[in-house]
Amino acid sequence: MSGTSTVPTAAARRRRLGPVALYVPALVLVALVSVFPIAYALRLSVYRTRALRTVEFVGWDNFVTVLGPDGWADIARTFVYVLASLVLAVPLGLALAVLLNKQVRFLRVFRVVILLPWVVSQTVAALLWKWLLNGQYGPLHSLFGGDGPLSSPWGSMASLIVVNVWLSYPLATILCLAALQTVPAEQVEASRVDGCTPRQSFFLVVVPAIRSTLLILVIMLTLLYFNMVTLVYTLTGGGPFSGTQVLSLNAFLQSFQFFKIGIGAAYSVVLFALNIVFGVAYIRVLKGKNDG
Amino acid sequence: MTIRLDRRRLLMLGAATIAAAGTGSLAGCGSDDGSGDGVADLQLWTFLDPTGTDPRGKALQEIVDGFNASQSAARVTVTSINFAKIDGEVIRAANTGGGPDIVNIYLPQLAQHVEGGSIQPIDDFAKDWLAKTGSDYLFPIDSAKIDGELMALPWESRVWLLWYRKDLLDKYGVTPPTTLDEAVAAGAAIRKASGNKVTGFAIGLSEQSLGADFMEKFDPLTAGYGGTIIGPDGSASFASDAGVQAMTMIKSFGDAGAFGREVLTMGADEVVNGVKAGTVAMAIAGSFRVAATRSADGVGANLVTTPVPGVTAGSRLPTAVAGQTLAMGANTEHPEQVWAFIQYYLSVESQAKFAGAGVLPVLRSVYDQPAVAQASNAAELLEWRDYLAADGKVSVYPADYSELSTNLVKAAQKMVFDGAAIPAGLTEVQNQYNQNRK
Repeated sequence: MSGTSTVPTAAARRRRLGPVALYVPALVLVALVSVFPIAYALRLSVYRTRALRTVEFVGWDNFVTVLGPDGWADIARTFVYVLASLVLAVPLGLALAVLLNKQVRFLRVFRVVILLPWVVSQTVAALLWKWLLNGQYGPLHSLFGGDGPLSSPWGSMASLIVVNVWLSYPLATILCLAALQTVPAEQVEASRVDGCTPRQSFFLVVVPAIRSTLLILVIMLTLLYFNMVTLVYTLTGGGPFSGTQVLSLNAFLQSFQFFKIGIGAAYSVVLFALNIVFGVAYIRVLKGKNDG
Repeated sequence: MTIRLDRRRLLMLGAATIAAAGTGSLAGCGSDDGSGDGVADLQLWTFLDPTGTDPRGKALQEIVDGFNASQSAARVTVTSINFAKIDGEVIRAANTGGGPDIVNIYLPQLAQHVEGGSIQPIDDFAKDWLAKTGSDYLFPIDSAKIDGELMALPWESRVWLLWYRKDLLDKYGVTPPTTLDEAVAAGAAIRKASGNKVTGFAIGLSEQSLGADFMEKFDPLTAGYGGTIIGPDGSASFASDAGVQAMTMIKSFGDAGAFGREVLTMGADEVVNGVKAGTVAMAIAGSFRVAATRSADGVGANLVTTPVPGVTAGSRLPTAVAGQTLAMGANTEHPEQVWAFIQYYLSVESQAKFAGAGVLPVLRSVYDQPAVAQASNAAELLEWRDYLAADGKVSVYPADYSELSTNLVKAAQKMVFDGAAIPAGLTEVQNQYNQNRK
């Protein structure tokens, strides 16, 4: 046996721990801004609160409220809002990205115009559309007639979805455009030489090539829509007839308008669970397709 | 010069940076002597915007400038926050150890602030001042007491009046109503004659802004029929005969066609904007909004206000007593200076400035001041004062008033437009509220 020791030297230990130490600040930061608030919300959700203070442990009582008959209606409306927005925003973003990927005259002008809604804040967008859709003097009122779309629960939900899509399709367009520009033109040309129609080239060559980006886009938009408060609060306030009352709005109202922060936290926990479920489901779908 | 950064120095630098950042952020909370000249920097959070077009904002700026110039111990800085958000912002900030030194609170939200721990009692500061000035208060000061402690001082009174656009009534050949039934008929006639382009009589039934516009009608109507929203024991009592009559009256405006489903998208702001735009002919709205509304294009003297007519000819509907107050932030480090500012804000001179902006002063003696007595709106201010004195009704505003008003307006939507039974709708909200109190 040689005289070399199996005990790591101080220098070797430092070398091994060095990279770990570099992670620590980032981990501490993530713990502070993500893990701690989530843990705090979980704790609040099982307490009865008075203003912003915990009063007594109530176990699942807050969740019974959240998942009661009214709560399930909120969840159903949330799904309608999120899914309908996704179904409209993603194809619209992709279609516009395909158009912007073409070499046409005034391309820069088109890009600016198409991406313009992205720079508008949710509050400004809500106020703008509220005016456009006003049942008495809104410029778009003549399209709908009657008392305006915001006066009925379904019209209100439809308006909310349209405004949401109007606000978020530029994000979809940007991401899709970036992905489309990475697809080698040779692949598309080869598929055309092999006899594909333009449509087949797009769906069989281009879309699979940008699938990862599309998935990330869907995850991002899903999280964005599930957690959206400002737009809903400003455009409809959840009404009329609670027709646009979604989970995120209720979490906000309970927490910061009614100061029932325990119930608000329970709403947030349910939202968090839905975000996790959808995120994991999307990733599994992508992983499955890649494996296949 | 070259500085070598070895691991130890790097760690020390990091630690020092974190410590400095922590110290800085802590120092950023609440008031301080940030100027370093011994002058206390006081933060005033209010819904008024000194840079906006509302005359009250301009009056506020004059008062703050006057206070800052009048002494050297404190300097007040105004932070303007939307009225629908200010209460939440203040309570959240106070619970993290910060928040304003002085906060403007609308009386119905006062209990919520007390429960949220965002303000502190001012009895000790106000004792001597009230002994001298208290009898001059037109506003019932007890309404600013919670559990026997004075939590704020009202600086503004407000009454709710019948607003009508004279030009619109003339255009459609309608005379100003003298009873509620006449208001229903007049509103319906205007809406019909305008082809539904003009809401004859608007009552905002939107869930936004916590259903405030609806409550500002439901509360005095209920009082007009002899009932109350909250009973003396703190429990909800609006599902009474009086409450049912009040709700039936509101529904009758819709049934007659004085308003349509457009009111489902209207809160107090939208109703007032409708009056400005000429798409609302009549409404019940607050005295505090009159000056700003008249300053809009084409409004001016076309906006006429009068006490709200009652059920029978010659009678008047009670008006809720509410108003804006100033309170002392829970975490202020300069209570003496805060109190000095509150006193300045309530001085006769400051009150006169607000009166010029259409605000109804809270002190009787202010109405005798030349600045008020000779003002162009003097006659109107006196009429409002007399309405407040004769028909003012003090309401109870519990800590969970916001939730109650939101639930009530949701129920009202169903009762007015969806055919829900009125007693049952009110009873459901009342029972839910009383159950949650237990």
